[in-house]
Amino acid sequence: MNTQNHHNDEERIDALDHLIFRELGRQQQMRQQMQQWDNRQRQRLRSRLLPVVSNVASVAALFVMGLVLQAMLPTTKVTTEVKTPIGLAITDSTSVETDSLHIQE
Amino acid sequence: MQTLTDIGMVEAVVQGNNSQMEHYYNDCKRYFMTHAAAIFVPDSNANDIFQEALIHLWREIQTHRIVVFEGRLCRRTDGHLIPMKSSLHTFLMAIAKRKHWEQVRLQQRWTLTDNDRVLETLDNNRFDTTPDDADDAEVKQSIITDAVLNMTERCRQILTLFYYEHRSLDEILALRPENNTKMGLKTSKYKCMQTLRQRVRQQFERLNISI
Repeated sequence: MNTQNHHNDEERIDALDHLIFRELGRQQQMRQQMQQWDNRQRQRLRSRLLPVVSNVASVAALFVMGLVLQAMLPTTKVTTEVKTPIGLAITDSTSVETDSLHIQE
Repeated sequence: MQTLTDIGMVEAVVQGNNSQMEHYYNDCKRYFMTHAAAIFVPDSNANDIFQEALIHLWREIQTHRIVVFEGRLCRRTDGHLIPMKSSLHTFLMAIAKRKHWEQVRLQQRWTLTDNDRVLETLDNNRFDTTPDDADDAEVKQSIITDAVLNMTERCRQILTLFYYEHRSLDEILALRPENNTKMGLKTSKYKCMQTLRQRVRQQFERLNISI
């Protein structure tokens, strides 16, 4: 009788453990599924951000290129002389960032 | 205030509609991350707390403790369906808040006690399962779900790694170095399982349910 009872108790514990393990498994599967969703969302964000970043980089590169070209261009000194009616000469010097601008008066 | 989104989420979770669940997962996460600062200081744990809280909420739905009845969200309490006053987002935040404080409490306790001591499982009555019109199998499932959900993080990890992922004690020891020895880990695993069994059995007895 005692052996039978002991056997029944063991069976009950096995059945309970089985239910517990199944629940542990279910919750762990949900965790793994959520992890996958997180990864997918991260990929989606990355693929959405990538074109924006590359566009910004292109614009920045163009801007820098423009600055470099500007620095490379020779500067021409333009002298303007204006004679006043009483014979005084007013001279003004200006730097103009072009290579072919000549003003003569 | 409940929205159509709440009802949609309950239906998606009950049906196990993966793509819909993914949509609600992202929606809930956005909401959680926006409001997390109001309930606790968000840190690297925020994502873990969010996931555990959402698993809790979804298991409540899957075990029919939160249902849609006559177009409204209801919660089973003492065998009755009581209309829920809050939205699922608010409910989720309440679970998250509780989980956060449990972690804080346990961390404080860990600094005071021996690392190998098995932590107590959480208060039994917070998400109490009571007999209702659901059949025995459903009530049983609810009790087990509750017991596993309310286990400590430490016990959950040890038992999941050992029984679900079939990791060896040495592997678990490498993953969880706070257990100093293999024997300590083995004792922890045994006590976690015992506490879990005991908790479930007590609830079964309370409700006159046989295993």
